[in-house]
Amino acid sequence: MLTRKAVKWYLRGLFPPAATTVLLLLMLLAADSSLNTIKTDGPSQFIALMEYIFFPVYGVLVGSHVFRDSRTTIFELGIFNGPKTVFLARALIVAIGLLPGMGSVALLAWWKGHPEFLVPILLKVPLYTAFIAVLAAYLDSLAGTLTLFIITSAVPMSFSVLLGRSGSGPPDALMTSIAYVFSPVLCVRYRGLLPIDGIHGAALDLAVSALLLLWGYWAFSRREFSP
Amino acid sequence: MRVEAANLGVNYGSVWGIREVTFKVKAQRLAVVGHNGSGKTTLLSVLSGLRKPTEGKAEVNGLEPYRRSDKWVAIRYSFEKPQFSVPVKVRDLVETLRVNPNCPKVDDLVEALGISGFLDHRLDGLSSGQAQLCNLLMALSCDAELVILDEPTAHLDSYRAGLVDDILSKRRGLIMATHDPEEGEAVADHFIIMKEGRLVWQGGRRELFADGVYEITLVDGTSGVPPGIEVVHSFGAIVIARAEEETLSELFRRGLIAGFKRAGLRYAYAESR
Repeated sequence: MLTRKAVKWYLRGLFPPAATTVLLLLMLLAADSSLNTIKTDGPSQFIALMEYIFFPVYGVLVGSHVFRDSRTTIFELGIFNGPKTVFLARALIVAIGLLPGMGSVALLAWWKGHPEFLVPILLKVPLYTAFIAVLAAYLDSLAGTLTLFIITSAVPMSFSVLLGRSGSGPPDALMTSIAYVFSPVLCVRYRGLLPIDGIHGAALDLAVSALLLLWGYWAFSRREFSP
Repeated sequence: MRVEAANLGVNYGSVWGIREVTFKVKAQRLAVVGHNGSGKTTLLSVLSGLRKPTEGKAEVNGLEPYRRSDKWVAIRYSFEKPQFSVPVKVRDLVETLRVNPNCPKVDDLVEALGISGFLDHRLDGLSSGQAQLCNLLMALSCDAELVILDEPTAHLDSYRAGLVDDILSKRRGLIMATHDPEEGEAVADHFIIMKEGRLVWQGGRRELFADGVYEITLVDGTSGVPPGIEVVHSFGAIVIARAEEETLSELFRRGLIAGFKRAGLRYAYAESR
């Protein structure tokens, strides 16, 4: 009952109507337009727009809702009897918040004849949830939001440079694994060249998400506060 | 309630918030008093388990609070200057606390603290006093071994502050920090005075209300102190002075002073500065 109340508590204000509507609309328009160009120009535009810009911005919109200042967190820990309920509710809310954005673009890609993007885009939900869970355990609002944007935008961008290097051979298994975690959508483009296939990449993403969530809970339950 | 600190120290980089704090207290309600930056909040953050000390250790009822896995249920903490960046209504807070099995006193306190008057306000839009009341509601409506309050009435009007002090004075297992000597005396049965991160005085009510030293309220702060009174500390229209009780009674009867009582926390606080 208390967990349900906690989810309801965090649900309030999750989707600021104006910002969410504008962002979702722009994201779907950009996805639609760039999906139309895949047949002629390849998937680069779609990947760049979604993985480096729109998904990170959408992730920040959702993540900033649970990056709360120390005093608010102390207050919420008191209301919900400790870190277990607060962490669970925050993680659930982030997943719920991410689903409309990621889900709608994934479905659009599938509907437009590019089913290869469906799973990698949906994998963003557990991955972003796990990133946010770890960051929220250590950082407050502004620092958490900025770090999340760097992790979800700048890091995948750097993998586009790494995977796109010609003449240096395919990346090794470790680098490929990291690429699957930070930029699963980009990996679709280089699938034939990577030493790990898509199914194993997806399994790896789910396993890493689960481990990061456990790490996030461990860190959150041991967090110290200076009021 | 047993509270112990042994060589307790907390640093923030190169600056020590508290250092070499040692005391052993058995009391129902402990007041921590001190000026701004004296280390009250740092001490409370360790006693409430919010942070570990850099050196030494603290125990509440035989357990180190920062090592307790049940600290969020066993110890309730209300901080100073509450401000919540939460877009939920006060009504949601009340309903959430109602379903918390550890918080049976929600409805009584909502009425007693006057929270029912702003149930439809959002937490992120409350005045500092209203936010303080919500903070106190969370801390006081739940069953806990210990409640720790940092400046619980700092933002409240005198009427509400009186109500809160009345509730607190009946509670067992309370540690509070306060700037207000009257509040400390009204609520606590043991006192700790902090200065620049160190403990400078501690004692119970018996030690606090010393013989021969009185807190005197003058009729007019500008007309001076009547003869026969040796002023020790002056706080405007209130002075701490050495005097005979009979002399003060006579001055009071003649209308030369507005009132007097044995000097307590205000005197101990002033002496320790």
